Amino acid sequence: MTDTITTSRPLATYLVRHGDDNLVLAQRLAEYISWAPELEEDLAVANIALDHLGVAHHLLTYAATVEGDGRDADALAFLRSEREFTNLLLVERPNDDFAVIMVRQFLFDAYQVPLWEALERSADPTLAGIAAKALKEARYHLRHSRNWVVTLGDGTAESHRRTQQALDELWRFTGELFAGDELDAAMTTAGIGVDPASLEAPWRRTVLAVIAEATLSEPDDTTVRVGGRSGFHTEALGHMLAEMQWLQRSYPGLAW
Amino acid sequence: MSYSVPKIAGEQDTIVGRSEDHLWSRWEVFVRPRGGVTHVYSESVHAPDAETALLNARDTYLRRVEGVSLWVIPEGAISRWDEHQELPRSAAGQDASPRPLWEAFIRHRRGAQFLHAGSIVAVDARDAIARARDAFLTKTDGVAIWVAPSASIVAADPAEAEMLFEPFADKGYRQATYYDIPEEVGYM
Amino acid sequence: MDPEERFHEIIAADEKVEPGDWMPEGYRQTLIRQIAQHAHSEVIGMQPEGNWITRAPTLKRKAILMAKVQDEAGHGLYLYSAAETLGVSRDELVRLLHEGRQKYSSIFNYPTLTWADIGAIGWLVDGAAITNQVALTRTSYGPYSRAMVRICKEESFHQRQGYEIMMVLARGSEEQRAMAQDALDRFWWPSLMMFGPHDSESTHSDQSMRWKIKPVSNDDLRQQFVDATVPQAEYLGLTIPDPDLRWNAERGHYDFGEIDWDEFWRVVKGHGPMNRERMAHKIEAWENGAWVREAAVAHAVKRSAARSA
Repeated sequence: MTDTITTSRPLATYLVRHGDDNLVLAQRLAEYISWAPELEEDLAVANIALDHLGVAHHLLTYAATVEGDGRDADALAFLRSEREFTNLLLVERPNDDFAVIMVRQFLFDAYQVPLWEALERSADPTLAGIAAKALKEARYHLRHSRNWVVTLGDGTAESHRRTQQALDELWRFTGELFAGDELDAAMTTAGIGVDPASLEAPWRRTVLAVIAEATLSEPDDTTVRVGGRSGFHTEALGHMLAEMQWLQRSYPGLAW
Repeated sequence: MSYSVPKIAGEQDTIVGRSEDHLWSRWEVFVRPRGGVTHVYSESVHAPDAETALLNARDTYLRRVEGVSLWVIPEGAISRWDEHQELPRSAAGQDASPRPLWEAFIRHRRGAQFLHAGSIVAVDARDAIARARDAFLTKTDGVAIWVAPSASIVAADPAEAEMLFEPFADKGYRQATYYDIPEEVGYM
Repeated sequence: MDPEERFHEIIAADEKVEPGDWMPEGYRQTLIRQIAQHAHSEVIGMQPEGNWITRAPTLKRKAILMAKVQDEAGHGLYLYSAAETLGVSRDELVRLLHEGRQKYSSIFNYPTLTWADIGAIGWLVDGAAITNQVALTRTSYGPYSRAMVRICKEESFHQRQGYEIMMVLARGSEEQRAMAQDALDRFWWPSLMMFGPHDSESTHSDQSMRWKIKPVSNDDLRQQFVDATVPQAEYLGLTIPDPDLRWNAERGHYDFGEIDWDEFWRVVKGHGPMNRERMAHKIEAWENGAWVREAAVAHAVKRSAARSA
């Protein structure tokens, strides 16, 4: 069955989703370079951003090949509109402060580790290869972000307050990480993808352990904001894309 | 000269006194390079604690494919000796107190970097320096020795080598050879 | 041997002075000043290029630029680390920069207005920096020399990626060629200014050269840079904005016009196009980070208290 799917649009769409997650987060982290609290952290944030950008580049390149429409990774990144971007809403949330940046990263890293563990076993060998590489990076990202969430949560009164606030603010975007749709179901059936619902238990284990160690409280917000996978974003994404795509859109069709 | 800003007429130099205070303490970093046999001193990072120091050292000094092992040591755990100081005498056989393990790092000549020379058992830092001299050196000219209790070393777990050291392997754009520059424009 | 005699012996023998060695206070002050300025320059230098990371035109260019700006943070860090071996803390040097008591290179007080500026900075500004830094690997202070060796090795891609951007633009559309020429027009003279005043005017030079802190003079390095760069501009089909530029067969070097020294001093004195913005950004980032740095220390104290309890 995989043969028919690898040559068809659903796989491309699936790859673009995960590519978009990584691209949008890389872009958010890129905005933060030269604004970190210490030089060492500027270096760390840049490493993480470069990892996500690299994964995005691999996934979008492969998606473009599968799609076979003559588009390349850059066309997917720079010439799709806001409604065509399919990233999770969590990763497009703005860099309000260092607590938001690290909590956002942590919530996403805790999701990406089990995601790549599952996709490393994908029936699609190219996707499995990308996942295997991404997994090593995601494990490091998680070690880095959990260290900061614990440090800030259990630091000073101010850092505790900011970190709890960041967690409360971002919590409603975490339900979307595990809300599968028909495409996820089809990809899972084909052995290519993973059922997002299956990632929730490992995610919760990681997240609750760190929340406890950080002396934070699990938010009681039961709101689940979804829409990223179908292009129904928060207003933050449009501004990001306007900036990111500006040069390509202003001078169409040129090489850079 | 680039990066050296000239003085404006009449401008006084800012005289910089001694200052040891850091909000985040200083950690010395040692990296064993790919294909290398020993840990090489790689300058320092600042960090509030051991875990952050290790992560900071990784993010700072392993940005290219260059390391297979990483150590950080708090600055204060290192005892330093060089040619301007009397060589301490070994405390050999003086008492039966427990002798911890120390790591010795040696700079074999001026201009060179400190290299990890090996481990020794010693009563205290002075004893460790003396024993390191006896164990690893034939001359002392231009030489400097650092010793640190082995227990003070924060080392990357070998089981975590993949996530610490491999992510840089596919970032070829950090190397000069990635770029095609025509020969006729000269060396760049 | 008397430590002062030993110091002069080390310098005379072209050996490296190391942190434990006795050194004249003037040598120490000169080194702190120079290494700190170099470190501050790397860190402030993140801003003009960082200005284009979010707008880089392709995924590849975005990754390259981000890696380059990250290298600048790293190079600043190596240099602060070298300065610290002279008994001054990084926190203190950062404070001196923020108070305006230490400076950074004037080149970073020019704005990056188009994508071509990223190409021009890599090609010209990094080209000038590398010319200087390769010479500085021979400096007499061991930690500074070793930092330079590491930095030169890592920076080998910086100039090449910039020149590659310029090649693509020079071969591109009419608009792209115009963008490339405009960037060269704006960055050429500031790049020459990076080498500092003429040797005859340079107050710091003599003693620095005697101590072998600074192995090659400003004018010699500037000439070396011009000689290397002119053929590169010709290859791109771009015009260097200097009517006096011509090959001098007798000297075996290019002759070139006089720098606008009024502009040079104006920028050094803080009146360049971006001096205020660069410092405001740096100080704002530092102040925004205060609660994070303090929280990290508070947490470390709790962790170690818990461990010893």
